Formats: sequence, C-alpha cells, structure tokens
Amino acid sequence: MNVFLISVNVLLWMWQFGRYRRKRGSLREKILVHMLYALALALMIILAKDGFTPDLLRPFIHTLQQLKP
Amino acid sequence: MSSRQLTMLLTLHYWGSALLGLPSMLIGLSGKDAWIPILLGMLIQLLVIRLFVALFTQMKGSSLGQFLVQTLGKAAGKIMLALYLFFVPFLIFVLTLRSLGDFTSNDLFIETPPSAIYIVMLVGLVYCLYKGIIAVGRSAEITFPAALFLLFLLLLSLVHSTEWTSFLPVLEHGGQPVFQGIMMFVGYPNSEVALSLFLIPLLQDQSAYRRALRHSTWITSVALLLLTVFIIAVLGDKLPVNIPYVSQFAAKTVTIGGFYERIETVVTVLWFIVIFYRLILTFYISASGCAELFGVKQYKGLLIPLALASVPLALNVWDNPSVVGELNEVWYLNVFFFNLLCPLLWYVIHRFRFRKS
Repeated sequence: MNVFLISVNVLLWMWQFGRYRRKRGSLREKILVHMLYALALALMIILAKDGFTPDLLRPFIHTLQQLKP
Repeated sequence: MSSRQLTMLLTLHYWGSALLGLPSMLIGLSGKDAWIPILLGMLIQLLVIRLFVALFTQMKGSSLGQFLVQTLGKAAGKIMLALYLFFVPFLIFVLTLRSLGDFTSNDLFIETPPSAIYIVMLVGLVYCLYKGIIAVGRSAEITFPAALFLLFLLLLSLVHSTEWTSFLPVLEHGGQPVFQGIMMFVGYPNSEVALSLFLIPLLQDQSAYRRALRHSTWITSVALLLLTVFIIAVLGDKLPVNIPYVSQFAAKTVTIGGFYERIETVVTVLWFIVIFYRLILTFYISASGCAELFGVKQYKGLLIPLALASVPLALNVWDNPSVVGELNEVWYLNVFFFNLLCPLLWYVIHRFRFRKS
C-alpha cells in the first residue's frame, strides 16, 4: 500500500509539473503546490519506513490536559 | 449560495460523526439526563449565533483572511489565520478521516487497509471540490432529504423497543453532570458554526446567513435530541457509555416479528452521507484558507497535494481508538478558544479599531 501511495504521489506530481510548464501563472502558486507535493511525498516516505510514532496527537492532547481547569 | 443550501450543508456537517458518536459521549457525561444539555445547548447556540451575524456585518462580504488582516494587521492576521486553519478545519478533517477509517475497519471492511478507504473518499472529495463549493451546496439539497428520511427510518425502527421509564428520576445526580454535558455540546458540534465565516463571501445578505445558522442549529439539535432520547429509551444509560458507535449498536438491536432487522445498514448509509459533507466542508475551508494565506488566487491546485498529505497524517494521529476518549475530555478547550473566544476577540478588536478611525 505504501508503494502504491508513493507511486500515486509521484505520478500526480509529474502531471502537475506538465500542467504548470504549459500554463503561465503565478510563481507563488507553483511554489506552494510543489512544496505541498514534496511534503506529501516526504510524509509518505516516512510512513513507509515506519518513521512515525503513530500517536501524533499525543502532544496536542497533553497540552490541552495541562490547560484543563 | 442560497440560505437553504447553507442550512443543509451546515446541518450535514454538524451531523457528520456526531450522529454516530455524540449520544454515547453525552450519556457518559450526563447519564439519563443527556437530553437536557442538548436542549439548553441549542438555546445557548441561538444566542452565540448573534456574534457570528455581527461578524458578518463587520466583514462586509470580504473573506475571513482579509477581515483578519484588516482587523489584526498583516502579520498577526496571517498568523491567526494559519493557526485557525491548522487547529480547526484541517485537524477536524484529518480526525474525521481517521474516524472513517476506524469505523470501516472495525465494522465494515475488516481486511481492507484504512488507506484504501481514505483514497476512495479523497478522490470523491477532490472531484466534488473541483466542481466548486456551489455545486457541493446544490448537491446538499439532494442528499439532505435522503439523510433526513434515513434518520426518521432509524428513529421509527427504535420506537418498538423503547422503555420510557429509563429517564426517571430526572436530575438524580444534580446539575453538575448536566453542566458538563452542556459544555461538551456547545463545543462539539455547535461551536463549529465558526467555520461558516469562511463561506461568507459566497452569501448574498445578512438575513440569509442568520436564517441558515438558526435553521441548521435547531434542525441539528432536534435530530440529536431525538436520537439521544431514543438511545436512552432503548439501551438505558449504562450500556451506551462503553459503545463508541452507539447509534449503530442501537439499530442492531431492532428486530420486529423476526423479519424487520439489519437496520444498522441505514445508519451506515446515513453516516457515510453526513461524514462526506463534514469532510468536504473542512477540506474546502483548509484548501481555500491555505490559498488565501499564501496569496494564491485558486485553491483547486492545492486539493490533490493536501489530500495526499492528509493520508499519512490520518493513519498516525493515534495508535488505537481509545485515545478518542482522552481527546473528547479536552477537545472543548480547543474549540472554545478558536471557535468562540477568537471570533469574540476579532469582533471586539474590529469594533474598537474602526470606532477610533
């Protein structure tokens, strides 16, 4: 499943590259979109390598528990 | 977007995940009096709506990002928008996606990896948002009656096994559990009315906005009230506390004459409809807000990468669904701050700044 997710990400990113090469548009939009694709790909690679502690919400819950009256 | 479309979109958004899980959370806090917090919470919400209608007037048709920059200044406005987007719509989107995965992998598609379910759902979300939020609003006009019909079918099916003495005695443990229930209900799902601020540029006038907020509040509350009352009447107040998807469990108990059974399918279909609208609204707000934050005109280009990034996040937010119990105990603090306190501050600051000038 991880390989599938990474492949989908890469293929969609390549498609996006092709679209932007043909299209004249704002540079900011292009940078943002490519950064988001890169972020998604990085997250998927970390996921594939079991790099996540599967409890990402823990610090958030812990902070709210500290704030609870 | 018309007032009716916004009413239906907001109602489906509130119902999303609340229809399945809220009754057990409220019964856990307020016991057999869980119907009282819903009634009182609805009345409080009708007062809170006045704040959002006042904000509508101040915004004068501009987007929330523009309003925040105008009110708080460029840097503070952008930071506020970024924090709000991350901690409310995007977080709700990721958590709802995860709830969908937990529900399907526990009850429906046990062998299917949750990421496959997410991808199927995200393809639908991206397609709908490529068509535009107005098209989504129009589609809500078609699906809302279907969702309402399924809800009534569920409630009618539960009538057969109700035991009305389950509600007595009223207020057995005093007012404290009821107060806790009110806090919870005002926080989730009612405070999410703040998300409607992102839809203001799509609306024509203040009265349409006010009408949409009022109608969505009472329709949501009445539906949740009836559902909670029927669940207490069918299951009592002890059993639902330990069942996360209590509406589905209650539907599983329906058996009339040995042939009218398997009503839980109705709950599943209903839940898929409402969760789709919850996801679509939070996803739209995340993408359009992100585009606005970075000064990008079109949000559509951000839909696919945001959807892709949400899959690994949804898979890793918690290691097992028991964390939901811990989150529910403190979630109201997050939404009270971002959905009630922040809009109040924006309103006050805007009023003072523009009175001086």
